[in-house]
Amino acid sequence: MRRPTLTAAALALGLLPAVALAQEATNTPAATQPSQGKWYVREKLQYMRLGDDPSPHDREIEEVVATTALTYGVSRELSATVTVPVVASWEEGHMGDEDRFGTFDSSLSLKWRPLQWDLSPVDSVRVAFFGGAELPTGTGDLSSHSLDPFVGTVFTAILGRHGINQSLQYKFNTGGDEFNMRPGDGPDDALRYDTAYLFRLAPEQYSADTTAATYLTFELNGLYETGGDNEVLIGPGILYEARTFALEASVGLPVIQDVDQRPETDFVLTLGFRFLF
Amino acid sequence: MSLFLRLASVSVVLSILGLAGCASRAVEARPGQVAQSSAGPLDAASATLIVHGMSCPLCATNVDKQLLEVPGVADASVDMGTGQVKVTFVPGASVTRKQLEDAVYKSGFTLAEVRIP
Repeated sequence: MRRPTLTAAALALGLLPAVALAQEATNTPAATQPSQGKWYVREKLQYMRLGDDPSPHDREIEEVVATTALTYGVSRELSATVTVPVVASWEEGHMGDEDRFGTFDSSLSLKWRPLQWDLSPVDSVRVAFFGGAELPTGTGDLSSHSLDPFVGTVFTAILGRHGINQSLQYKFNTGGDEFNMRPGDGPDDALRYDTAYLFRLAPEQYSADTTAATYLTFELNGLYETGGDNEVLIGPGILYEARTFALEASVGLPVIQDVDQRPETDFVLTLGFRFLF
Repeated sequence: MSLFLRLASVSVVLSILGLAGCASRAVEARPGQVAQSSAGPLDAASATLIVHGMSCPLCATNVDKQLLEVPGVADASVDMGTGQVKVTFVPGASVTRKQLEDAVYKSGFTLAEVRIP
């Protein structure tokens, strides 16, 4: 009975309001942010399964993670974000089974978008830089117990019905568990390299009557860890965007998996909700 | 450091340097077709702004939210296809061009033109 209870709790958290902006795929950053003085909340509910654990624990793990990100537009070019991930996980392994419920480490970050070329009513090219830190706020062994800074840059181009985002993010893991189970959270530094392509399915042309748009999204989400592990997930998805909110869904499947220091990702399912207020 | 990390680092540094070298601020607002100065009140019941960069419905909401916070603005409606934002003023209100420019600036997009009927 415990698993349904934890799942219900995580799903309930997933229904909390969230912030997001357009032309931003599910798991790839974009050089977008709320306007000055506005708030944007984004909620992502992810179910993932990890297996083939190389550690003595030989764990198989299922996780439901509800990540709330609240972003505030400090100025035209600068935004601040706080991210809080709540997790329910179930582990099975040689050392016994273990269920957990709590929070991973929260993060604080700033995004600065100094470069922006708005070429036409629709077309835009932007570059942003971001940085912040994961704080040791997690619950028990769900936390790394260390302050882990990260920096990154993202390029966004929106041309007609096509959008592309390219992001690089480097996280300095100053702590981390030798038997870490989560991608990017071990003792090694982590380089995330993400690419997203968005195609606007409808409407074909914007007009005065446009109140919503639907996009197909396609992502390649890569993670290289300095210990040598490398993993790339391919992620098709869909994004529906109205004037004040957006809904999204995607699946992540491994296409490159050279991982021997942590469990491998079997798949990731993501549902998301974004709200601008 | 592995070859992969070296290549990634070089790529990031070159991107930053190249972009910084050729970067400019967002396209500056071109002079509008309005005779009034930016500080003076617009002598009209409405204005049409041409805004660039509104690439999605959620983005466009930032524009009308900012414009509706300008004292004297009664309504703002966005045509994403043309970039036209029709702004209607409260009768008797003294809205200036600069207030409209500031609102679009804060929204994060680029004001290309202000048209007064």
